[in-house]
Amino acid sequence: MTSLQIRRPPAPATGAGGRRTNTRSSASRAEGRWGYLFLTPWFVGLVVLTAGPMLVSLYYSFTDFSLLSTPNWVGLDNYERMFTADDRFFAAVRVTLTYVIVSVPLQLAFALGIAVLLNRALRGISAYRALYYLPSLLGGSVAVAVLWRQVFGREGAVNVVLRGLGWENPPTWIADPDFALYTLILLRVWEFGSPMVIFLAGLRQVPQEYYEAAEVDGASPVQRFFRITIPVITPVIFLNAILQLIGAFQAFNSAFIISGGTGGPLDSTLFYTLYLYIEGFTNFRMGYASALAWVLLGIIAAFTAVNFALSRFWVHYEDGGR
Amino acid sequence: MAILEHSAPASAREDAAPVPTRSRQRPRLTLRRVVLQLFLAAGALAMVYPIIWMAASSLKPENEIFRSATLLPEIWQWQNYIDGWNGLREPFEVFYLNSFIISALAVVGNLLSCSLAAYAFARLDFRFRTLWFAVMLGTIMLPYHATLIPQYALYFELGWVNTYLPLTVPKFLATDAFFIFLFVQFIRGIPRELDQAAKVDGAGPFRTYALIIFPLLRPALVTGAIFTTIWTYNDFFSQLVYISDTARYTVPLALRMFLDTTGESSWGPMFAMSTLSLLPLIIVFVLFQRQIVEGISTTGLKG
Amino acid sequence: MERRNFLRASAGIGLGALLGAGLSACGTRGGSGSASLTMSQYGSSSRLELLEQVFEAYAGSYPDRMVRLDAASVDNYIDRLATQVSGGNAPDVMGIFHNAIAQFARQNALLELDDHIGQALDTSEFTDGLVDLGRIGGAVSALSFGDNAHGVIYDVGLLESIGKSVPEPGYTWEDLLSFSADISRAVDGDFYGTEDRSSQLDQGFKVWLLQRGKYAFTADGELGFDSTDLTDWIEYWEMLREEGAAPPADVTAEAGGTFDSSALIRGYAANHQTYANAMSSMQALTESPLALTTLPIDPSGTGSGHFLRGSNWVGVFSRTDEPEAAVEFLDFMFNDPQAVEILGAELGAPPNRALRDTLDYSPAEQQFIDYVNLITDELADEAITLDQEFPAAWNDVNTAFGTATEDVRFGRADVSESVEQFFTTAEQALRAGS
Repeated sequence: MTSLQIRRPPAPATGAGGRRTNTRSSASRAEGRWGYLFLTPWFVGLVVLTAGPMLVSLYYSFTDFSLLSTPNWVGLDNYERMFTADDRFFAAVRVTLTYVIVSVPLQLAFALGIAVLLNRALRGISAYRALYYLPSLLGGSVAVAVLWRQVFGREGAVNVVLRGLGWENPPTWIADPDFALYTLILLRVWEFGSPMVIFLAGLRQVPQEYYEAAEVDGASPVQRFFRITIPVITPVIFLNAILQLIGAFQAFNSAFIISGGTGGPLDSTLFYTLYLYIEGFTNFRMGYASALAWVLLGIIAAFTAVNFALSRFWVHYEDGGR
Repeated sequence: MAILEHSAPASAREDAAPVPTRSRQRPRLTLRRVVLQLFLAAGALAMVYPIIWMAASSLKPENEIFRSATLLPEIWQWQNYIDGWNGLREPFEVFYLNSFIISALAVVGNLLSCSLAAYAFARLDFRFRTLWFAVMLGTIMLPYHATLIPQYALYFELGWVNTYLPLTVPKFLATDAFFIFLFVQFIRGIPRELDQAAKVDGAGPFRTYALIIFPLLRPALVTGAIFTTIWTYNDFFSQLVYISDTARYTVPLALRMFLDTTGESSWGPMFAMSTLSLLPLIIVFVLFQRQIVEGISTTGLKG
Repeated sequence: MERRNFLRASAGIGLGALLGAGLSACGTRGGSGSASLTMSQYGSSSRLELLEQVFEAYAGSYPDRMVRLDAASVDNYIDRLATQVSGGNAPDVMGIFHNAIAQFARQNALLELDDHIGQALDTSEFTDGLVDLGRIGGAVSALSFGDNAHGVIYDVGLLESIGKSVPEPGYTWEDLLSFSADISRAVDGDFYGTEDRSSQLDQGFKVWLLQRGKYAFTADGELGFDSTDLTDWIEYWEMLREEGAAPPADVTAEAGGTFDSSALIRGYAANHQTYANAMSSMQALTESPLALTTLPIDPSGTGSGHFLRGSNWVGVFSRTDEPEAAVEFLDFMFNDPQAVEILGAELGAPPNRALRDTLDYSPAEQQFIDYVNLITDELADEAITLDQEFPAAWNDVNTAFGTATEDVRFGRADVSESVEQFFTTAEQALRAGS
């Protein structure tokens, strides 16, 4: 069997080498019409429901809109204030970048590892899958705030264990500005169910015979993981990376619920979207909040674009990468 | 965007006879299996400890919840469940039913509309495809708080406020672009030879989508169904904004009614109903995840 | 009263609707007749149930009127309401937080009630000065459901277990220090004598300031206190923490400001400093008996520093289709014996003093009522309007205040640094907001 060879090394994007050259034909024009036909529901949604509100919010970002009264045009004032006169904006950016950079790789690694462990015939495996998914069912439930205090509070489960191990006065993790953000990162990692499920579905796309061939070749489980599993599911890893990246940048619920909507202690959990929400809906500066939103869109888009650019070096598709 | 660009030469795939799925060997290393079992069990315990705590709290009287250090209740307060179920202005079955209706509609809407769009993005060649794909991704990058106000005004103009329409109709119009991207990535994992074969047999794009892609996309569709169910079921914020009749309240809205940070909170009933509200989701998950793993595997068609 | 009887009679013979339609078509004031109102309110399920009973009673008295409840949980109440106002779809009558009224009123979201007061809206039995609290830009923009004041709730059981009793009104800030330090010592740090709410601008600090004859903000919308006041305040609490009378920073940060997460309920401290109307809600969270007392006083200061506050507030949407009906409904909630009896002390001490004294209260509620009567009738200093209490930049100033006090508490900055930082930030925000 030579199936291992089918796993191409990450092919550098060398240009049009394999591009089907006969695309833009009349057949293709027919295909184009089909394409737009398939996209019709999405287009309708875009035009009627999504684009309008997005453009309105873009407009708001150049106004002093206060939610309750009519907006006045203020040009770039909001953007200027953001970058020159708003310490909390920079605090929020710092918090959010830390959160994204730490939580996304951790969560993905965790989700992939557990998905691989759970992707096997083992007694009670579906119960395990459910148990590992269980935390993700909570979502932004109000109960989460209480639960997390129960784990990371002064008298929480973690500290009970630490005291048992001889650490007399461990910090109150959830209320200490040095640690509060990291408890929220753990919360995100704990709720790793969604990427795990996506990985599980992705693992179904790995042809079984690849493994069989590898076993014949004497590859160890670790080798099989890195030489077969990982290469085949790169599109799914990429998908999860993008989705989690966007999700982490927009994280709101956990900080909102656990800090009681303040981002405290000492702004240590002031997530970007939480700050945006505070500005828009507590301080009634919707114009400024809209500007914040569009800057965030810019940041996310930049991160996403970089990821897409990098993806050509490591992601390969079964469809030939078209 | 690289995703739509060409990044590797056409697959040098071999045609092999389909093999039956899941040709697992009998376990050989039993010790390894035991260790694995222990590891998984310990991990699962750590994962669900907070939820066990929640379930235990749902059986405690109010004043024991925050002050008692022990996990198990001193007094088993089953009354919390009765109070919780009947404690709000409608019995809880109303909220469950409402949540189920919204979730079910959202699942149907998302799966249909997003898989259609995803098929177009992943398989069809049309002008401005890359641009539209970028726009599609862009729509999930703006935080929803920013579009809430204009969106509310729009739905109010449409007369949709205080109905389920703002919560369901958008799903049929593929506004959850997350799922389009999800399906695109999975469709791209399906060998293109299958479509080509269908094409040779005279199938147009729609039949290819309906007969080849849609069935093969099953693991991803099931994933989409699970996420849509859970996220819609848990989507507190938009339900809060668009629904004001308590008879139309959903489970998360109802759960918040137990809590009042400026007044009296009913923690016991809240925990009782929170615990109970996980049950439908667990059932959905257990039933559906089996579909991911045991459904038609694309394996047999590959290789 | 006469008019209401007339309405009841006319409704009884089936003319009400017709008459009302005719009157409102002519734009005549004092409109009666059929109307359908929506009222939004936050709060617990039991509170909302009481409100619905009031709606029923209203519909019983005015068969051609109905009120529908638009309920939302307290956490997201204001953003939801703002969204509705922004969409032009707000409830006719809206319950509203005291710190949001000024913002809503300044942006013309609330109906000015002045013309109705003394007409359809009878406030003659209200505590003196209560109505004026709701003046924004000179116009009465909202009414308080009840009288309220700052206070301190103590866990009597905890105190008794170490042979202490609740401090009597008139105790000083110095007493609080020694009293609290004693408690912490007696229980060997299991909990603390007092919680630390020094970060909340709207709590004890305002009382402390008023004992010095100052308000947080001047009538011109500037800061009403100087760096000495803030330095003294921060240093006072620093001293309590050093003496072990108040908990360290992380315990305080964990406790949070809500009743169920308060240091008292969580068992970290013997008291909770909050608005007095918290009393019965707090009591419901613990079996240990609670008691209500004042904040400490400054023996060299002026007055008690306590002042009349509103508890939960209610206003009318400025763009409502039914302003007359909405105002009449307000009057019903405030002055109808049946309605007042249903609501009891749920939303504060009933503003109608004649009716307040006729009701039966639970023991916890009775303590609250007695306390409020004590403050408003005997101890209160002069209160200021919500307009002055909550200037446009209030949230920014409040945040800066929290940061300054917390920075010191967490040892991130020394007192003079954070006081300076506060004044820089707050003054800048107030300038920008005005």
